[in-house]
Amino acid sequence: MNSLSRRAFLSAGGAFILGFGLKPNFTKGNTVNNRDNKHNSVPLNAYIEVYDNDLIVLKIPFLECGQGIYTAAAMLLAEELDVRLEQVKVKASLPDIAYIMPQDRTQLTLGSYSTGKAWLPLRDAGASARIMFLESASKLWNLSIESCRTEAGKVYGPQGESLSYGQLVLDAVKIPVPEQTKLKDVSEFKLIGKTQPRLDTMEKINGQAIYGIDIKIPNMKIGLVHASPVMGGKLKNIDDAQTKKVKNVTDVLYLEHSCCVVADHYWAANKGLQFLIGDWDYNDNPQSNNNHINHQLHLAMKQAGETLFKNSNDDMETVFSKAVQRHKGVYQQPLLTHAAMEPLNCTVYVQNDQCEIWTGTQIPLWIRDQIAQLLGLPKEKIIVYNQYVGGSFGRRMEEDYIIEAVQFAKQVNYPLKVIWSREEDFAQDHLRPAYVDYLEAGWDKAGNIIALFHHIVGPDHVDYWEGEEKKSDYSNMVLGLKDASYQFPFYQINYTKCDIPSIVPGWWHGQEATRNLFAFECFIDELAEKQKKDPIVFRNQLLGDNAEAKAVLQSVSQMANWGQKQTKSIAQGVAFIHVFDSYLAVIVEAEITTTDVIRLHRVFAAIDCGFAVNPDQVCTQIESGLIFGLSTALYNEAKLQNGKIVQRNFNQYRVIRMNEAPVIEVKIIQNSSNQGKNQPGGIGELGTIAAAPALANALAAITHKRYRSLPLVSNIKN
Amino acid sequence: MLTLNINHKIIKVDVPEDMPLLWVLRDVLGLMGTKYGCGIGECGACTVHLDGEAVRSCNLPVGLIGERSVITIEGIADDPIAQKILDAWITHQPTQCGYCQPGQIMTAISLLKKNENPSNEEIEREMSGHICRCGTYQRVKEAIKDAAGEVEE
Ligand code: FES
Ligand code: FES
Repeated sequence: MNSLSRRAFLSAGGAFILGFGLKPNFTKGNTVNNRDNKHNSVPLNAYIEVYDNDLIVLKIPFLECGQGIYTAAAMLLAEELDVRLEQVKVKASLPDIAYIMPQDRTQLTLGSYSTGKAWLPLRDAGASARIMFLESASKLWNLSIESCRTEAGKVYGPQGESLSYGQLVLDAVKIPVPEQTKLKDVSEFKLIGKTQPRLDTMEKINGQAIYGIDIKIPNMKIGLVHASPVMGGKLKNIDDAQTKKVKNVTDVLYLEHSCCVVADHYWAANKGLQFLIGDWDYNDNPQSNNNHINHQLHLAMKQAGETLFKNSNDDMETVFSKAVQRHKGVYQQPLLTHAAMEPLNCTVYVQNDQCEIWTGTQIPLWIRDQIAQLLGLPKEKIIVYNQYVGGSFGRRMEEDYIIEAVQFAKQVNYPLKVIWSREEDFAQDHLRPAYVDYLEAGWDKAGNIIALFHHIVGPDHVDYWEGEEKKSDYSNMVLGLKDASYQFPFYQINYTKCDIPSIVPGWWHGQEATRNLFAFECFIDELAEKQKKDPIVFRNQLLGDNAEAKAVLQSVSQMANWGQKQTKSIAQGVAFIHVFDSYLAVIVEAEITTTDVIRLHRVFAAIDCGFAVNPDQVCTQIESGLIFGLSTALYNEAKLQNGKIVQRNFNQYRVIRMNEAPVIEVKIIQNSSNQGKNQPGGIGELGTIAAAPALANALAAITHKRYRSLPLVSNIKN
Repeated sequence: MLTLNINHKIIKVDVPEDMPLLWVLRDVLGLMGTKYGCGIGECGACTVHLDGEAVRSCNLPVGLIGERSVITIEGIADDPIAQKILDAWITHQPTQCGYCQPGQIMTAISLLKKNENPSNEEIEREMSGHICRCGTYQRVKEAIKDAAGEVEE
């Protein structure tokens, strides 16, 4: 590692600041982080500030969007630094290359990986700082380092003498950062692996937590945006005379495809917007409908596609021709919106020589660089203050709302908070694209699956996200499939890219794994049914000697009392996934009532994420993901009419509420073979990924029909 | 000029009468704990108490409030039932992104004030006006039941 990057220094504010460069060889797996090449690779710096009042501030590059990363990060640091968890205050770092995690080359909150990425770096940072405090105290006391110890933020000498880290800061800063640290063994953990309450609970329940939408800057005004409901539409025939007469409206700003009414408060801006007269010129921009999109996808399915993955040199047709029986299925999945609770917003203050931005983003450094380019300012003059967000589900991976806000704000000389109304948040969403998946399997006389073929058809949102300079390598397209734990002697995945005109494709919860594994896990269930095997027994066979995977399946089947007698209207369905380095098995128990209403009774989940840093939060994350996924599977499809998103608010986009929520039971399997050796696997998106196939399989068990398209309500009602 | 009673303080505001209370709280008075989620009474993020009743502030014109007392999430600190609810929220840890939680908490408090020991169905009926995209319903329900147990004692 580069020792230059390990440094300790005293900041102007009197805090002891440790910047730790961390070993870059922690990389595990491959994140779908394709922006890498746009930034120089530097080792990580995780910044710890220790104040003389014993407050410890940890600055991390991750967005806290509900996943609990602030608490997990604080635990990792506090464990090795040997301080009380409550002493640690986690803050979002500013966009700076110094705060990048070793696996990344930009600041990135993506793919359920945050805790895993922080696992070694933050512990190493804590361990290094602890040694420096130990050493500084032992020097002051003229004692050997071995005769001193640390506990709860203090160094103790053999006679009971003690100094707190805060008292030692000025001396500790002079100690060279240790070259080598020894991290605790799993068995020595006091905090990690033991449930800790979230550090952000109190401020979030007493109304004090500040989200992006809550930002207040002196002289700030509120701007409400309205953009073309059809992609690429241009404003024409504008008349804003009435708008400007509305009390408290101060400005009306325009961009090519959108306008922004600025006022002293939201309500005036909202009124002003209603009085704005104008038209959209859609020209010959594409204006698709859902039917048209699905038709295109099915047409594209006839193409052979490009092979993204193949585990054998054999020719597919040759292998399939040896099968005694073959089975195929075509799955269709709809466009989806994000509909996070906090509508998109971004506050911007552009001055001559700098630009400040207050918003929640998963890609702060990337934003900084984009805005620097846009405004022609040096990168250091763009300051992005990353805020709490009311959910993201992938939406905050995009930059559109920030760029737009900056373009409006640069037209005025005051700070501008740009808010998208809920309606605008729906209308301008970057949609999870629609897809069609074709699956085919063949088996031999003994029922062994000898070949599996999966053909994915649809857009690649990463291509769009990367922009002109770089094209996606499609590695994201096979997420959850390539890492599936089942053994197939022949396994091939093809992809046919089929763009959907008139939508902006976007990141979505669980990424491609949500789509991939719905089709895949439903198809596996179909194969079991074809072979008249129990779905869990069948999956177990496919798992070969993968004991970790089997333990998870077994555990969930015990929890659910799988195999018990089912009634005519109630049944259980299972899904098993391996993605983001974690295993999750889910059993959904559902009912179809005589009036064709789907009721969710109970959901059981067993998760092996390698090592659960904060176990109860692992459970809450799985619960969260399951509800999000069940809600989507049951009800959600973004409707497109002439290129416009039809649904504009929650009265048109049904989501599960408390009265429909199932009882959920989650069990964590702390995987001893994996413990501590590696980084913890992901949890944030797994529940969502497994929810839809488990539910569809449960419904199939009730009706003996297969549910190959989402949302499920449309299937049942038809 | 309108006179309002917010969090036990008499406040004068110069706003149009049709302005929803939500925006008066947020953009005029700077009370940011009451959240905007949908603006049409569908999600519950904007819930406050009006004379103790949980109401949606996003579609409540401020001119209709009159002398009734408005309590927001910032004004619950001295309320013993609110305290029980907050304690239960700490125990059961429903909060994820947290955006919907002040609204859910305001409804939970008013529910327990009306009904010391609500059944599952009563909790569901009252709380189903809230949307939580983080899906925290199960823990919210447990927290309310737990707080109700405490209230009874
Ligand atoms: S913002 Fe008022 S109910 Fe949604
Ligand atoms: S906690 Fe995120 S919306 Fe409820």
